[in-house]
Amino acid sequence: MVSFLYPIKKLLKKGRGSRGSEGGGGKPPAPLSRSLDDALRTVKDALGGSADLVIRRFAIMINRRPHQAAIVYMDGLADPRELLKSLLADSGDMQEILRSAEDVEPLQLIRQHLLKIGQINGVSDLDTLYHAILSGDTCILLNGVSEAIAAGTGSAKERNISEPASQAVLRGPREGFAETLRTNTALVRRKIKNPNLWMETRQIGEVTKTDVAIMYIKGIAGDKTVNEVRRRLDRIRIDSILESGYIEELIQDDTYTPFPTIFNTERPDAVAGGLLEGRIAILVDGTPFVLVVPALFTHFLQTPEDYYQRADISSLLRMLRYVCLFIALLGPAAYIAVTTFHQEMIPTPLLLSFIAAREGIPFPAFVEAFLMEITFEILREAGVRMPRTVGQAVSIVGALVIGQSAVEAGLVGPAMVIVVSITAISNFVIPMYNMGISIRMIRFPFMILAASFGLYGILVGVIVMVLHLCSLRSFGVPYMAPFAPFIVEDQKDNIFRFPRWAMLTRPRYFSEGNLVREKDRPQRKPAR
Amino acid sequence: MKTPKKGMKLLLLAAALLALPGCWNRKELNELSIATAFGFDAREDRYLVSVQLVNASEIADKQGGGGRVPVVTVQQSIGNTIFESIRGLTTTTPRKIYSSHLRIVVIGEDLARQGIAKLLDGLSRDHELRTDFYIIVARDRKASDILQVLTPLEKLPTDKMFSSLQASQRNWGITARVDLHELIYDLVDKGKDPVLAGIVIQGNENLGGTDANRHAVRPPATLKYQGLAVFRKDKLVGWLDDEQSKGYNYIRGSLKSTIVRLPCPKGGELAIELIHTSHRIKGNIRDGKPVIDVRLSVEGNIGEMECKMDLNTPRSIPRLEKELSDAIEETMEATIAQAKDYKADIFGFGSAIHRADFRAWNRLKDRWDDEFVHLPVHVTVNAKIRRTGSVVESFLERMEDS
Repeated sequence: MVSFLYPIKKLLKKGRGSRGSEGGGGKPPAPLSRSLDDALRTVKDALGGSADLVIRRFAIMINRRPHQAAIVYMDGLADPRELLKSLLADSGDMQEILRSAEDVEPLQLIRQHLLKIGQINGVSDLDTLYHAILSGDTCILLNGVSEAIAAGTGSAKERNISEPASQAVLRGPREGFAETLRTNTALVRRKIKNPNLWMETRQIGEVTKTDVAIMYIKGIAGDKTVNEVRRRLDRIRIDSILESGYIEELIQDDTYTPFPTIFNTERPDAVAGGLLEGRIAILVDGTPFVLVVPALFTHFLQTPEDYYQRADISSLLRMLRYVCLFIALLGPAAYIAVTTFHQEMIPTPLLLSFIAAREGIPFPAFVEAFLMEITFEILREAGVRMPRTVGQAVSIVGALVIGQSAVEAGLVGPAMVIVVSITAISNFVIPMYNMGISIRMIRFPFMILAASFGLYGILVGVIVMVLHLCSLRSFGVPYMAPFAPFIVEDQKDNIFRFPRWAMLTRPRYFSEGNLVREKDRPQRKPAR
Repeated sequence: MKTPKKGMKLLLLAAALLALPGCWNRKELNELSIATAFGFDAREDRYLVSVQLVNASEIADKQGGGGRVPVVTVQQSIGNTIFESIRGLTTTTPRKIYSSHLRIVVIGEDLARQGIAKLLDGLSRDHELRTDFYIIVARDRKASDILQVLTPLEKLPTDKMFSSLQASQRNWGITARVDLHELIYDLVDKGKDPVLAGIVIQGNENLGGTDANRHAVRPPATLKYQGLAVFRKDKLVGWLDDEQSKGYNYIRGSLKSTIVRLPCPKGGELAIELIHTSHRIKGNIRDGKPVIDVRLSVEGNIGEMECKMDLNTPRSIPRLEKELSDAIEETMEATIAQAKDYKADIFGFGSAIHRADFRAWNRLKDRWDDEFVHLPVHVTVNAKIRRTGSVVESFLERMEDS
């Protein structure tokens, strides 16, 4: 019956079958040549004679014998000044490396000598050498030795740590992640100074070899979940990872859903909060957006500010967000349904106003709503991409003027403009942008359902949506927890935010076993 | 066939659910013509149905519009049954009539005398109609005349009829708010006969439907509620005047507040404002004969004193209270006498007997009309005067002296 759809599915699968050829991925690693000249030539050729590859040959005295050596680094990625200071004497000649009594290898001597550099690794094959150079390390090659030293000297210029543009708060830290992985892991470590905060790195992306790190708190995060994250990351076969969004799409549970199942944030405090609950953070080099898994529906309607402000106002604001969720989702649909099918539900004076407003408008209510919604989407998208000077004015003026003119031209009714405006504004109350865009998308099918089948259609749509939501899982955790299955203890951080003295346990699904946050209860009243 | 995947199942489920209803109820707002009032008259042996339709563009115009076009329009149609007549209206109205927002149904007196039961069936059966509209009788008039009067204060005349009925029952007590549910209930119940409010046009009714009625400071024609219509079974048999209508409301306990006029001992009159009433109708069978006890307790304030009377003495207030209870008793007994005259048990005494002793009621119910005429009713009123308003003594006394 539905088999006619399977050929379409096969087409979608085809892309994954063919493995693109990666640079030397399947072959055994090629060794470094003993000859310095050979090695340098190989490196230069491999990088295509790139102008930013710097090769500096020099002679170095080890055990009173001069050795030919070279440092290789990428200009812009590596900053070898400290390294050079260690190797060169003040006068500019090569410093004599200490003589050693035993017959220690020259390379070892250099390694021991370079105390100022923190990270020193040995490199024995070409692939690792290339990776080291391209990661900002400075490599030291010695004639006659088939090994090299990679010294960590990466210090590319990066953006200052500033307030995250997408998630601003009134109260709370104004730090946002930067684009460098090391900076971001440091920001997280500053929040959680605990030896149990563990980090693992891997490179993902055959061509880009992007560094991706997992962070979790050992003992709080469930081992099964951590293993699952590792497994999913290791299974990724793609040529490039440019942003955490790529990873998000590749490891998420369910592709055919409009709802996000992976949380992303620019704020270190949000990440730290998630880690303390037993979730796992995935940091990707090159983007300030950090992923946190598993992610549930309630997480997308929470902000870090909820925990910094008072409990009562936070609870009310959270409830407001849920109300706005419904308005943003069902606003136009409900208006269309009620005015087209169920006019008996509107009080008589209001109905008369509606009728008067719609006199002379050629379109049915659905077309009116559709036009207004599409216009709003156009304005919104345009506002995002417009240059800053022009953007503000055009979007506000555009919305007002276009709305007003449309009403006066008789294309839409004023009631419809109100409904669409309130819907659009409610959409922005949803704190996480990815949930907001999901709601925007789903609003349109609801409008179609409302126009075709009235309130009954909306009801059917809601049922289908709820069924779908309840069937989603995020890394094995039911998406609608703690709503469904209903977990009583976790309601303290769901729609309400109970005061600090009541927040005793971690969410049940994330923290296998380590439920209790602290041994002694926090004080409810100050000690007298 | 392979088992469909989860997403397919969901889609099929949704498609199945959506195949059940359809678009048949879909009505755009500008296809509706809202009926706010219906009027029913007898025309030979058929019905004349009048519908008051709202002129939407005029109604919602915030600036007042200048009244170029009347806010309502009345269309009429003749048919053998109600439903048929209403559908027949589509030949004259541009849009289909939407009756969910109906507020008032007016029945002409001639039709009321012939019997109202038949037309109520159509009204109760229709799925579009709610049951929250009030039913009134046009006194000495045709219902269609009542529907053609414009009102200066309210844009929709039906709103005026509706809220006036509510307000007057609450605050003056000479009308009765009867909705469809209650009316049908009363028609079916053998122990109570229905009662409907009556409405008249005061003034020059020819100008009632014109602009003059809305623009003049003193409109030439006004709609006014007057009296109650008494029915026996479903036929109109007579009218109660204002005092008797109050009596009816006293007995039924649906009177919240009203003004009672009492004569002063030394001449002049004073008015008491009733603020609270509580009633009890108790039926009894004594010696095989039905007897009714009606007990009413009222609380009132002194509203107006146009005479010289010293309220400070401890005897004055109890004297007033006795006068008040006497006056109310008199009103109630007059009403009962009138109802007995019409042979219509409009108070529900039969239901009271039914509640007291259903075997006796079963014996009596078929001849209740005659039994009712000889039914002894004992009326007791307990009146209390709570306050004297903002002042105690009237300044009139001082005025005379100085």
